[in-house]
Parts: sequence; structure tokens; C-alpha cells
Amino acid sequence: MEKPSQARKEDCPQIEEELDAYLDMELDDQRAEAIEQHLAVCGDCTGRLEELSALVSKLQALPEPPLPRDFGDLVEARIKATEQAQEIAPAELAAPVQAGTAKVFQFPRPLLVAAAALALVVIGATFFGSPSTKAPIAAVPHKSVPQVAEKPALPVNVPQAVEHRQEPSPAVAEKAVAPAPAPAFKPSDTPALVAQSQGKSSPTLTSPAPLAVSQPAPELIAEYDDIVGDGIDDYGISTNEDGLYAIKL
Amino acid sequence: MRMESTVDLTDEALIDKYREEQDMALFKILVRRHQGRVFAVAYRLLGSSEEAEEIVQDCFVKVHQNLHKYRAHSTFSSWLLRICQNLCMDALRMRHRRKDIAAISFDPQAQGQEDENFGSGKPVTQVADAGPGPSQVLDQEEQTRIIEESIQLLPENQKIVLVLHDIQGLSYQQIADQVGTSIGTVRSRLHYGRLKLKEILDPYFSPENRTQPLKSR
Repeated sequence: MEKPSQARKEDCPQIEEELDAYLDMELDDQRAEAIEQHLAVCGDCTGRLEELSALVSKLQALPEPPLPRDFGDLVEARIKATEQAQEIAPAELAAPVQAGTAKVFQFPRPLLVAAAALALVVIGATFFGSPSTKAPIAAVPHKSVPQVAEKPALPVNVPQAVEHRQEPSPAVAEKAVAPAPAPAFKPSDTPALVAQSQGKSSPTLTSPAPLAVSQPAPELIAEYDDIVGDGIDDYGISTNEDGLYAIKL
Repeated sequence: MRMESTVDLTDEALIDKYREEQDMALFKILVRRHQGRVFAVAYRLLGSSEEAEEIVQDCFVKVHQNLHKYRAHSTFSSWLLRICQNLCMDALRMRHRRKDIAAISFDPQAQGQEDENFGSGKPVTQVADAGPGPSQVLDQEEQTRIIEESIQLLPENQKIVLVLHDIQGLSYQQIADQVGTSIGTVRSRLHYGRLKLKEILDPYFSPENRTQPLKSR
């Protein structure tokens, strides 16, 4: 094999890098000519070109992988399924209450209102006439607890949310509220219950947190059920993933 | 009757017609016309028939979803191939993330048990499964298998360029457009990809090496 001259040897790394493009006919005429001149006298580079050519031939000779199946029908089915999914999704986004959420809340919603009213009664009754309640008491909006508020001022700062909850269905609220001033009610018991539910020794009754209807204290209501007895015992409190609701027993 | 005339339409004409008529039969002509090539590219890039089948379906669903974006300034086949290539890249990235396939370091001179080394990150001395060694005459089927498996050992950017050029026959310019890089980068990747592939395959195909078993070297 003829050894390239010193000058040609220096060219070899550059030529080697260009051999691929030369083989692929991706070089311009000028560079292709320069490489051909080098190859004419350099056996090493000629050998590299032959090896490269053999490798490319092997790759080009690779058989086309056999198609395992016809994809026409499969693709059609996938496209239809995708389109159907896209049709459903925007409808849900556009009307989440009517389509999706309504189903979830349809059943418990009226009962939730009843539960809210019940909770309100419980809270009102709990604090009503409590002798140990000495904390400064804010004035209660008159319509927040209409039935119980006929008695002396309710010692509770009822959150605004309670009012809104109560308004939509006064009938249901009345039904739940009606048995509230039951004779079995023991006002003296209530501070302890409140303290227990709040985890405090002296509850701050003006604090709205434990009174929020959206987060009623289930144990408080359950215990109240036991206390008040008549009438109100017809209602039970239950929960599901959507929250608290009352059921008529 | 209509099918006889539509099968002769160009891709672009078929797409126009499909846009007008929204007839799935027209789109299926496109699918059947190109499914072989899409499958071949996906199979070569992923090395798995099952994954390639998924890619073919995903590819045509994506084509259908984006058909309104297709403009005839590029050929449909190159647009399709670009989508296929992108999906394959996503699949490869996902595969790396899941680490489903352990990286194999190929070293014909490495010592040790093949089974122990496979998947452990240690070098393996053979890319192929246990079976006839390179010293034996390789039939065409086995050659194909060894080459296919060796291609999978290349870095992804080199593998894509090599598959698109040497197997799919795209020009440097087409690959550069496809991959979104320069012709110089394509040339460089192809050069180093072939160099690496040659190193991997040499123990199997080099005439002087084929006289003795690989493990004994």
C-alpha cells in the first residue's frame, strides 16, 4: 500500500471527515475533486472509503420491516374516539353545573340547606341563655336566626354566610328550626359542648370559625340531637364526600 | 367507482378532497399509502414492533388533528415523517425516563458473564442474544438482526440522521429540514454515527475477526 506523503498525511483527518459526504454525493464539485486527488495517492483513506461504502450498503440492504397489520381501520377508530372525547369535554367545561356537578349535588343540596338550618338552630340553642357566656357579644342580624331570635338576643356573631345559606329555602329552614325551643333543652349544658367542640377551655363565642355552616362541627350537632330529643330526633346528620347533609329518619 | 379515481391522486390532492368532503375513506387512502414507511422509520428508531405500531396510529391521528395546518409548501410525506420522528423522540425520552431499558455499554473486550452484565450498566461483549457467534456464517436474517440491534446502541441524534439517510434515503437538506438543524450538523452526526456503528459491527463483519469466536478475542 502506498504511503501518502507527509503533506497528504496531514490532509487525512480532514478527508476522513468528508468521506461520508463524498460517498453520499453531498459535497460540492471542488471538494469532491480534492478528495478524489487525495484518494488517488492515499491507500489508507481509500480503504476507509471502502469500509464506509460496505457499511452503508449493509444499511441500505436492510429489508423493510414487514407491516404487522393494516392501520386504516385502526386509525379511523382512533380518530372517531378522539373526536367523541373532544365533543364531550368542551360540553362539560361549558356547563359544569348542569352536566357534571349537578348530578353530584342534586340529591343532597336541599338536605344541605336543612342541615345548615339545623346547625344554625343548634348553635343558637347552644348559646341561648348560657349563663357562663361573658364574652363581648356582637349584635345578631335579625333575619339570621328568625325563630330563635324571638328570645333574648342570641349571643352569637353569626357569619354572613349563614344568612345566605338560609335565605334560599326558608320553608326547609323553618321545618328544621321549629322544634328548637323544645322543653328538654338544657342551656346549662351547652357551654361545655361548645368548649369541647372548639377544644378550648373558655370558648370565644364571637369567633366565626366554629360557626361557619360550610364547616359545621358534626359532633356538636350529633350531641345536640341527643339532648333536644323530641322532634329534632327525626333528623339525622350524615356526611358524604360532598359534605354534611341531614336526612329524615 | 370513486375509489378507482382517488387512489391515483397525489397526497396533496387527496388532502384537499378530504377537506372538502370529510370522507374518512379518503383519509384512509393516505394512511394505507404511507403506513409502511412510517412503521419502518418508527421501527428503526425504536427497535420495537409494538411501539412502532403505536407510533403509526398516533402519527396518523395527529396528522388528522392537524390537517388544517398542513400547507402544500412542504410535501405531505416529509410533514408526516417529521411528525413520526417527533413522536419517536417523545417515546425515546419517555423510555429513558422510565428507565425501562437499561443502557448497554458495548465493549467486545470486556470480561465477565453476559447475563450478569446485561442491564447492570456494565459493558457487554455481545449485542446479539445468545446464539450463533460472529465466527459462524451469518445468514441474512441474523445480519439484519445484528445491524438493527446495533443501530439501537447509537446516540439518538446520530441514530435519527443515520436512519433517515442510509435507510430512508433522505438527502442532507431534507434531514436538516426534518430535524431542524444545519446541513453541517447532519453531516457531522452522520459521520460519527457511521463511525460508531462500524466499531460496533466490526467484530461481527470484519473478515479477519470472523475466523474465531468473539468471546475468545
